[in-house]
Amino acid sequence: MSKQKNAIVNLFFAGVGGQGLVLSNQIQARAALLAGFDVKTSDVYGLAMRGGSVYGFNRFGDQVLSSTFAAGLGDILVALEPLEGLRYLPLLRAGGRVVLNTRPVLPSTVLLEKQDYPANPEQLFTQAGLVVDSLDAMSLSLQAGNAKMTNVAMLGALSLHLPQISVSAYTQAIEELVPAKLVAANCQAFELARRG
Amino acid sequence: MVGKEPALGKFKLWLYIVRTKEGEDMAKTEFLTGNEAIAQAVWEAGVRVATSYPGSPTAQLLEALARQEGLHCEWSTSEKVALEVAAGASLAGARSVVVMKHVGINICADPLMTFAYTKINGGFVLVVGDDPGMHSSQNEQDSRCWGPFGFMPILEPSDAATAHAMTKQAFELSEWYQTPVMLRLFDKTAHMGGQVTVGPRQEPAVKGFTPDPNEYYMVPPFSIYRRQRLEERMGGLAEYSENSSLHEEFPGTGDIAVLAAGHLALYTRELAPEVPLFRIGMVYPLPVERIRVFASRFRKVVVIEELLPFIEKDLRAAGINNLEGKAHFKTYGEITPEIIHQALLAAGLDLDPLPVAAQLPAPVPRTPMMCAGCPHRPVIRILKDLKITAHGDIGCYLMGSYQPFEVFVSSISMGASLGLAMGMEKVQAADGAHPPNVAVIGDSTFVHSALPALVNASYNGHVAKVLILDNRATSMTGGQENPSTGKDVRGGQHQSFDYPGFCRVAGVSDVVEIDQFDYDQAKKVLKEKLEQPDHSVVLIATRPCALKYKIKEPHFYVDPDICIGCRTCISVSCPPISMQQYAHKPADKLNSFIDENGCVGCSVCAQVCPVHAIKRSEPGQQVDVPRPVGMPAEEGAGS
Repeated sequence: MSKQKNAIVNLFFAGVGGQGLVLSNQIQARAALLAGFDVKTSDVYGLAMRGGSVYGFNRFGDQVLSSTFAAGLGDILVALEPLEGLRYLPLLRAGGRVVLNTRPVLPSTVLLEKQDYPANPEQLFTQAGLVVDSLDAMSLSLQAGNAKMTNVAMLGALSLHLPQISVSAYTQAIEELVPAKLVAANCQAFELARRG
Repeated sequence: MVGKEPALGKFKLWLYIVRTKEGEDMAKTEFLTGNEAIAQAVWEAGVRVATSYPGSPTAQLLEALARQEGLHCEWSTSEKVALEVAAGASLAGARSVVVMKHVGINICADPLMTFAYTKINGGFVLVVGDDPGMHSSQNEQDSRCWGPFGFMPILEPSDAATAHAMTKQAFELSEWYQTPVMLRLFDKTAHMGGQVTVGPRQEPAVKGFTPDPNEYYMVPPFSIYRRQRLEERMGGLAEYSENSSLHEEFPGTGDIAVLAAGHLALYTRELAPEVPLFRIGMVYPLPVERIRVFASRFRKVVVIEELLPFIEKDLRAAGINNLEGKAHFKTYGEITPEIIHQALLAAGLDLDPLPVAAQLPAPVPRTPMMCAGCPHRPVIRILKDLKITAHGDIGCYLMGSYQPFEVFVSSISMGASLGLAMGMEKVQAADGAHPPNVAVIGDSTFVHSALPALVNASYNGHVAKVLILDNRATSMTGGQENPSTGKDVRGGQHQSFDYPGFCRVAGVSDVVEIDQFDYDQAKKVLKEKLEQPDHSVVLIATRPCALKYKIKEPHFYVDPDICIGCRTCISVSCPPISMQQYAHKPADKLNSFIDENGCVGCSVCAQVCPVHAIKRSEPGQQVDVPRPVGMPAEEGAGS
């Protein structure tokens, strides 16, 4: 691996359409930019937005060329939903980290009882040799005011593992990207998740 | 013009008036997606008219542009109209842009192929988004084929910064060579975020229009004259491509090199920084001679391109044969960094292996679902109940093709449902069978491509059974405005489209509006009207998109002591409804449960429940029924 690659942090967001994954990716990107890094991101839009499987790449470092990375090179997987985290688990490097929202969103085949939802996602991550930080981001979001800030709560948990980006950079990014009347609640969801 | 650099005098005709407000001349860096970077560059290039029909992956481009001032932006009713409006602005001597997804070019191909014959006046750029892998599309056609077909150059950016720079260059090229220019994006480049140095808007003077039959009346003999001029245009563009800085060569070591465009070039640089790389910025016409020299320095050159072997074939035709392209790559689907890595190894490059990724059994798939409160849900469910032969169209309702509904027998392209239903009906009716063939189509798609089909139905004596799902939004691409509301892209109110009025004028006198959230009544009307033989009818379902026009009714809940576990509610396939275990019920029985955080209160599940076990909650009051095993107590709902 080249020197440059080592300097890049590879993040991956996985979730379900409607969870606000694109916004969390944007806030993470903005915070990294404010901290002085180069950033590249890649998101999915379109049909998948309707409750489908969605993901986003986020890479930051001194200089980033590509917005995506190959399987096995991811540093941190932010799983807004456990099953979606499992789907993209192979992107993580050995010993990589999963920031895991424990609240499942059941896919249609599970709702229709045609397939089973994985019994213990957390254990599957651990068995794969990954470090797992679990949180019930939905509960934290509800504590902060409503159920829509799961995505920002997840960033709070992620930020604990990215000391090179200050909390004030995250706060400023939230202020810039979230509607003004929701900034305080989002900052609270972020902070609740940081407290763990 | 053949063989010459663009005459310098031509740019001197342009009078650039750069608006420099205080501070605006300072270079500023912004973090933009590919779509946003192009929108910014379009604005900076002084474009006066921008048109589009929303489609993934380029739906967000016009939205970003509409946030800027100084230009007309519109969601046109179709790509054909969008192209014509932008072409008219170009004729008038102003810069214009038209934006669409790859299949949109099929819709506007008629005017495009002949507009491309004309002497382009104001700079004209067509931005197209291809979708290898079909993330949000019905096919994955390769838009590069339109280049040689329509005598147009094609540029392919790699990231947001090159998208910004190439867009500005595209307008210059268009004016130098009097040609339309296509800028080709992918799902990956359209949605790739990166840093872009942005600048102020230029205001190139509008040149005005001078009528000239030779240049603009595309009938013979004038069009024959123009066809001959295209040879000069393409010759000049080929020469330009040879010398253009749109291409970039990265030196390296070894006797194997790579040739790639767009984001695939970036993937390659990261995976194999030591390998010599030729990044193609203009994919048509190719800088063939420059590539010939480049390729001659290596034992072999790996050509990396998604979809067709467009570059590879062109180079082989020119006698450059030390290439390995589609020998290593499929002609469908997306190319990932892993696929490139594997191909480079197979081609003989000595690369570090990629880490061995953790392997898991394939997780449960997740297909998109209609949103909670989606007005399509009851309609699709009724069609399933009635066992109607339904032809789908392009829109969110095509999720009715998925489990558990599976109601559509076909879905092809925008507006096709009406014609398909008519044709199938003709054959089946002749065989003595009379199954109703129903066309199911959304409000935007109907205006886009179904208006002639409805007229055709009346004119040719077809029995038309059409169900228009008027949800007042172009929902699948993000809820854009359309003629149903009469609101334009900036929210300005104009004439809304009179669907019942149009259908009557087109010759269908029976037009019925239905409220699909009144489930039984809607079902009764659909059954009666769709099953009535030899009777043309247009049914219009009137409830709006739940994503754009939120329903905020008190949520519903299941009383597990009334629920008989029949699963009728599950069969409407709504995200918050699942079957769960309740502690006080028999261990082998499941009863349904509604997640209060997901339910918006549309009532459809409650209406189909045969035992009235699903009830509406009272605002602000905690629901007093047992909760399923392992389900946390109700939190915050209704607050």
